[in-house]
Amino acid sequence: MSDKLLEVKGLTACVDEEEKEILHGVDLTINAGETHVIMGPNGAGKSTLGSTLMGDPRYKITGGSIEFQGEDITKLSTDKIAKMGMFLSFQNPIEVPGITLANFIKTAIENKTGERLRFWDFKKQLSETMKILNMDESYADRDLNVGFSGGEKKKAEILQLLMLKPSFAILDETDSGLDVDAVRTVSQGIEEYKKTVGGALMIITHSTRILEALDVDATHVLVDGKIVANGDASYIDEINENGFEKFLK
Amino acid sequence: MDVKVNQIPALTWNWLRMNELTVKEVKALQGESSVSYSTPAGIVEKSNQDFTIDTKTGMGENMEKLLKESAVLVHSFETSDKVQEVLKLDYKFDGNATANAVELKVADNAEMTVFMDFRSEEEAGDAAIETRYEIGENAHLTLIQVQYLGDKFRFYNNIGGEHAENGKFTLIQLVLKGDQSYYGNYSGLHAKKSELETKIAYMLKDENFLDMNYDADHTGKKSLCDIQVSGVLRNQSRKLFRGTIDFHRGCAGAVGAEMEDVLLMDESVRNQTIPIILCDEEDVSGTHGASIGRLDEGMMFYMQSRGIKEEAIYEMMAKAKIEAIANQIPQEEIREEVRQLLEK
Repeated sequence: MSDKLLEVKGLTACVDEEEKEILHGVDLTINAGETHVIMGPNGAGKSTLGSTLMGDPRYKITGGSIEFQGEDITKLSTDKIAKMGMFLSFQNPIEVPGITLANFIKTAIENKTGERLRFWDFKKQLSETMKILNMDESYADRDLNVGFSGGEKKKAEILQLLMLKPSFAILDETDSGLDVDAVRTVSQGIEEYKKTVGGALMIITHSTRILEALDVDATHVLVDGKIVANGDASYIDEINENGFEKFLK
Repeated sequence: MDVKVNQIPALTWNWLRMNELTVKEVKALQGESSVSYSTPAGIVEKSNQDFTIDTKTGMGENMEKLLKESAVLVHSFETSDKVQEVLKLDYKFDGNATANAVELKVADNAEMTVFMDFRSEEEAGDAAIETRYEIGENAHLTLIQVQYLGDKFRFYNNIGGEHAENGKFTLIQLVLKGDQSYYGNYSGLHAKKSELETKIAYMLKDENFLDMNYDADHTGKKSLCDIQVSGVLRNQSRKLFRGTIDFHRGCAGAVGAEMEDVLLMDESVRNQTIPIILCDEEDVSGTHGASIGRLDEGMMFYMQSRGIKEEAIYEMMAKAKIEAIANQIPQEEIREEVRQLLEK
């Protein structure tokens, strides 16, 4: 029997300030360890869905519910959702001057576990994980995302994914704007996550490069804030060949 | 007695009540507080009845008078060498109203770094220090001051000095603990390419108050000043920063910049700033900027999405602001000392 991890029912959400509805009733179920792909044309609401699941205060949930690990998280704050095991890899990671990448990850792990990490144990683990992502170790002591290239920012997101070991990760266009080598590295990181943590993934993407090494369980097409079609992995190739036209009214 | 201090060089609207500060019930200063130090090779120490350096100071004449009345000896540290070892002056203020007077003289082509560590033995008390400096041609004086005083301590920190051609003064100040703090610096940038670099960081909580007056007085051609102030206000704390870049006629090619960065942790804090650029010379460049407020919503969401609570994020950012300035202290042992104070 499948172990239900995330259940979204009739989710509607709008931009908090504008009251403009972006999600018009999303239904989605993801079981533990599964890999789901969300595809859709620009402006369909894919990133909004990812951010809303993560409790982004810029979006107001106007209807429906989100259940995660059997608990209603619809009104839960972002830090609590994250602590339960949800992770969002940002499309545009935020620059945080004054906090180093290493210090940020260490603080996040300590907040999650409630225990102080031994400095050298952490340093060793961080260094090993950075090697998997071909990251220069000097980035650990640099201010979080400040002056990082697009590729390094995305690698830093995957580094956090590997270090925090969440049970469910939303990857919001993690492959966008990356060259072939960077996509390969990031994909290796995602494979490593699947292998070592075995968590579930919700991958928001426009391309298939990042999916090549993954076993996709389901594909969902999001159009105008609603999931209009569901399919298996073969759907990805079909969409890549024919586009979204048949899903648009 | 009430004492007016920290007056800006050109007064602005009176009703703003920011032109100067009247400190109420100032105690008469009596006797010197204890200070321990060892003088590194290359630095000569002298004691004088009075200051030998004639200069204005940031806090102004009233504060100078108050200190003079205490009749404490002026400890002078002078060098003609490039001294690598730091002159560390450890102040231990007791509960009485004490005064300390220091002169720092760096001769032509010489270098000296002085670290003043201000601590108190008691939770409450008053202490004042006046530091005057004189920087020779192509010389460099670095003065690092760290304040970590009792929660009811009142502290006056007054600085003033003069630069010769190409003489540079680097001033790093960290205000980490203490109830009421009054800070001022005057730098006479009267010689060609004379330079002032000021980096200040403060952390205020409860009903702490910090009043500052920094005056970069440019008459020297191509003189430079850069004033960076970074701080965190919590609870009902208050801060007033006055920063004046004063370009006088004749200082052609001078460049001055001041930048303030304040993190407001609570809505009940009071943050006042008065950045002034006075200009009596056409060929100069003066800039000021400020970043004041609470954390950006997007940044907050990003950090929370990693499981970090809002309060923890503010704590982390507050510490980062102080560390960003502390990390610019060249000496690792001083940086480490600051880190330990921040962990307390």
